[in-house]
Amino acid sequence: MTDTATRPAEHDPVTARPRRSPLAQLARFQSVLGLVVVFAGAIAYSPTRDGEIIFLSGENLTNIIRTMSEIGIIAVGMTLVILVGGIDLSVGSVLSLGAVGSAVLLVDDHMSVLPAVLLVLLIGLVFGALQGAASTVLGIQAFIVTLAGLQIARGLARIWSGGQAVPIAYGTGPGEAPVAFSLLGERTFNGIVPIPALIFIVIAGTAMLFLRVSAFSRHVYAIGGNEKAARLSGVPVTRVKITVFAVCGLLAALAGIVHAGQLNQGSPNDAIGYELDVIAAVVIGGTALSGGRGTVLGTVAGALLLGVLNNILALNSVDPNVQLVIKGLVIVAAAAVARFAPRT
Amino acid sequence: MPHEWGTAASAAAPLVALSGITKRYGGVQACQDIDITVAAGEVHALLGENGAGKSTLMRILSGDVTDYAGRIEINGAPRRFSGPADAQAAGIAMIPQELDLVPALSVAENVFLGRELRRARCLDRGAMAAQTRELLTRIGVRLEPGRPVEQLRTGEQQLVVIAKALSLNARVLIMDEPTSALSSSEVDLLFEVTRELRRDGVGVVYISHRMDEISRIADRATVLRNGRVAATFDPRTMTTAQVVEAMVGRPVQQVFSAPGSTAGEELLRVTDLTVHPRHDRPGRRDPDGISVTVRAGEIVGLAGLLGSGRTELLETLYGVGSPGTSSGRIMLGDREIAPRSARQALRRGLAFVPEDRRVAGLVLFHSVLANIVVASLAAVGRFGLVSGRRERRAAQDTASQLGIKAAAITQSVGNLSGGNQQKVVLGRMLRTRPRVLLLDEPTRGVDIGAKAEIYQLLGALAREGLGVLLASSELPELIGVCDRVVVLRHGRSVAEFDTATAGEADLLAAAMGEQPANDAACAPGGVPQPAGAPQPGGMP
Amino acid sequence: MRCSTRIVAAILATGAFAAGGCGTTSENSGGGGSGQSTTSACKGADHHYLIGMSQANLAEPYRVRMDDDIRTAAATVPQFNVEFADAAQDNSKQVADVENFITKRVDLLVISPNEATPLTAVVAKAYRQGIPVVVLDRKVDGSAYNTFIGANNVDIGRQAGQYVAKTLLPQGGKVVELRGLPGSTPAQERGDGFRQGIAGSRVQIIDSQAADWLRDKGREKFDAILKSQPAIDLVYSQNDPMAEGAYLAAQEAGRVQGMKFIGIDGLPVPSGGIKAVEQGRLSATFVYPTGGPQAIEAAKKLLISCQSVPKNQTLPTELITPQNATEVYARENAHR
Repeated sequence: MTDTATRPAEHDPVTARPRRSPLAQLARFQSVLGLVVVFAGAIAYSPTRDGEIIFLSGENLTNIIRTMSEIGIIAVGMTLVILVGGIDLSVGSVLSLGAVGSAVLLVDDHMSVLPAVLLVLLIGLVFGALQGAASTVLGIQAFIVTLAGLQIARGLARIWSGGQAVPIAYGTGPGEAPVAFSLLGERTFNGIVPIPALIFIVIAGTAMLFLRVSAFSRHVYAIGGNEKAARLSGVPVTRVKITVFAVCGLLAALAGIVHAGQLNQGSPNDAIGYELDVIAAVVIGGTALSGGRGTVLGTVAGALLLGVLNNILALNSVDPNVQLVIKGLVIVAAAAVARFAPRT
Repeated sequence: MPHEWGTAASAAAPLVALSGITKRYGGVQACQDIDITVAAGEVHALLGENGAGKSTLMRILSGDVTDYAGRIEINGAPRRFSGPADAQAAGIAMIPQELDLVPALSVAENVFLGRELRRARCLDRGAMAAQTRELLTRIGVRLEPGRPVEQLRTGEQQLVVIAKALSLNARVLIMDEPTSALSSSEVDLLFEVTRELRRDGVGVVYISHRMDEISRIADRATVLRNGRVAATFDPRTMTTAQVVEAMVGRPVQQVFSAPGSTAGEELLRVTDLTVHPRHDRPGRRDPDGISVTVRAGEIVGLAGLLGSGRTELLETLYGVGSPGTSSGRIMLGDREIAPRSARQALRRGLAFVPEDRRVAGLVLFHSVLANIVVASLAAVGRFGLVSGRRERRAAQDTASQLGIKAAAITQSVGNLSGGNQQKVVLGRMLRTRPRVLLLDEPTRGVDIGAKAEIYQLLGALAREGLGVLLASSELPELIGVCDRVVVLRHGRSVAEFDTATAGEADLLAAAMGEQPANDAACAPGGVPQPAGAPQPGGMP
Repeated sequence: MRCSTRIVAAILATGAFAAGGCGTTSENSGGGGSGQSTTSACKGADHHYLIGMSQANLAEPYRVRMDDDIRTAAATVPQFNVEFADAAQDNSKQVADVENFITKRVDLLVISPNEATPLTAVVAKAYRQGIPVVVLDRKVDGSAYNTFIGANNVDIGRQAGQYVAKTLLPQGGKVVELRGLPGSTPAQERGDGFRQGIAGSRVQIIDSQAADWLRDKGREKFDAILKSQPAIDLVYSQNDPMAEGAYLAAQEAGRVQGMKFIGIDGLPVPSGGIKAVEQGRLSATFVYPTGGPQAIEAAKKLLISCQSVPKNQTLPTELITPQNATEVYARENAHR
């Protein structure tokens, strides 16, 4: 009796079919739908040059996906964190720490690419795991823990770099990074897809597959859906949560490596406020901030949506301040769609 | 208090008359041609299984649902409410199950929330307190208007909501399962208040599953089935069998399945279990000398008043009790265990169905499938991967085995009835293949048909050799379902009864600390009494 | 977070002052004869040109002024249409902004880089594709651009020092220095220049503290200095906001009489240093020019008159005193 009183429709449990109106079906993929809408809008409103739609040019599309791949990589990790009902505000700082780490290890410490990359990833992993542990074992809210983590990682990045950006020059001489690392910069795979975008695609694809088939992902959803129920069902809540934060930290560090390769420097002052872009991508993707509901596919669509939106606004040289307003409105609209989407 | 219509309203026109109420939700006929009246000074009980249409009907009456066919008359005048506020203005108030009070505010502040009394633009606390006290006195309740609502017990909070409704000149109160979270003394108080309201000429619609309450308080009882009125009874003469038959539409042989299984080997033996919690938490009664034994094929009941420590015992056994040290022994089979987490307990063969399935049992917006398999994923895959096919088959097996009625196992569990939700939690735990099942109030908020099914299921499980430890506040349930009942008082096991010989009165007496009748208490036959365990019925 | 962003904002603010450049005068000292300085982009006066202006951020008044200066200057050239992008202090965002300008095939790129190294590659890409590049205020690495326009911080610092030694404290005196963010190039250069300027005089720096370019930090730091230093003749602040902060602190302590305050930046906006001099709070400030008008001038040469431009243009500072403040303020805002 309890349940029916608060719901709009009462189902006869015997005869009821789950409501799957076309609207509900659409709402399930609202972020993909949103992406399609924004993409179509971008084509319609794209400036043209000699009859060619600038937005659709290969060069421009490449720019979009490369530009948002760092945000996208982290957003995959953030999706997991938000799915367990957490939040990670430290990702921008960890990205910066990863970028500084890559630059210092490659340039100052003359490390070769693989060990340097692995070490940076490890740092991100450990940093994330510590945040997860502080949140679960000490019972501090993730918001607070990662707010502290944001400061700590930023401080570590400044200390490690001496407060200055560490430039990366390529070559074999002293103070030069191995040329292999420059792959992350201008190079593309196939001549079309930039390497950072390729990394993003691989990460997102892996995460989607993983969320589909793993027992771990069932635990992630269960914890976010109802942590108490999950615990009573024997889900190792603490372990899962720490793992999820560790993965998010690792992906932030990975984005930091990409960042360093893209900009040829490791700056302790980069990626300020990235966490908000990342969270926006996840939320636009339809993942509930309260946890237990959401998909990586949605997040990918959300990140691309933001990327396309940024791009088309810039191509039309909309006033930068107006751009901020438009982006804010899109986030609210996406959240509103998620709010009113029928929950099937 | 001035009203639109006095208590002297003509007897010919009832306070509320609903006629021909019909409402469809898509393909579901929620209400069909329902006629029902409430007279001034009448308590009209409304019964029916989930989905029978009670909620929809009440939402129509309280103005929450406006697109219906049919007619509502208030004091003989036809009305069509445009929304809840409109209905409220017409004197109809709903007391929802989830009370909409602001915990941090005082009783008076809650009563006057949103329409605070002011004097010279400042809050007039004195007047609000005085009026609140007057309202409370009118319904015969003594509560300090200045106390924060969060300090009140659930029952008292409910009375605050009633007082608030009266302050809005409510003439018809709709109470939706008002006693589901109340202790028996709180229920008594609520009934006194209800009788007071009746004397005042207020009409009450009383929704409940509890037969005994209905016969105590109601003047008339109407049973709904599949959106129609199935029968109307006089509560003083109706029998449980009649009501159940009207609810389910066919005769039901028995609600309780006979315990009749034979007890086998000893599965769980708790000896003198005491927990010393690290932090004292108010309202918790940790085990303080509990001994219980459960054998294979046996259903053992845990009785006790609210706060006697039933839930805390089950939680301790399941490894999720209060953190701290403990003394005493828990033997599972021939192995001593000290579970520190649910995960450990499950691995050892203990499973637990918590009291509040919505808070602690289910992810309401996840599918039936996801909720069933979450505790036993290792069994439907390998290497940490899950086979979609196998998990679907597993969930389907459980759903059909337990008779879970859902349109599809991909349906979200929040859309199921309480009984089916409870079966989902039960099914999830059974998939872990436990040796002993710990149940905490497994039939709370479950309609009577599903209740009977759950009892039958427990009986069947026991016959297959499962041991069941069942905590309940419903004495008929304990007597009807269990083989033995252990009574807890103040965190201590104080008595043990064989249900073949003992009755509800014996359990209640022991729970309240009265000396039990000598012949009812028994040293359970065949069960060795562990040394140091409290003697049955022994007074501390 | 707030604390962190504030520090970061301060760090990035240093970008406003971190001009490279060489030479000590307003003479153009770069090798302007490079073959790249006139380009095929020059299509004469009959053509319309789209100019992309990539700004590092719009959080600093200096940079808002730079955009305004460019807008005003471009408005006088009917062939020019300028589009602005704001990187919001984010290197990656600025890279994307420049990429977008390249995609749109702008006829000329003006950029005031957030940082040098991260933007070098994308600026070089534009340059290699035949888009003339004007770099403002802060250089990029290498030489893949047409012209760099900026001021010289060492020189400005030196002029400030000389003005103090010769005019404000000819008899010598005790000076407190409020510095920009530690480790930032402009803070270093403005400090070094000042010391060169007062060398040999009886002016003495008795205390030097970092206030991170911020007005509230300036006030806070100077509060403490006032307690420990009983006699202060002059405050040399490496920018105007810190000088204003120090002025407030002195006023609160009742010690503003007989104390002089000088700053650097001299923005011709209501909250800027020129007004502060005009209103008597500051004794002097030194203009740190935005280079906006000069950038449009360079664009005209490159696109319309097909002239070459010098590789480096070092902009002169201008001393603002109560005598000329009103006049300079009016002059700088004349075209608005």
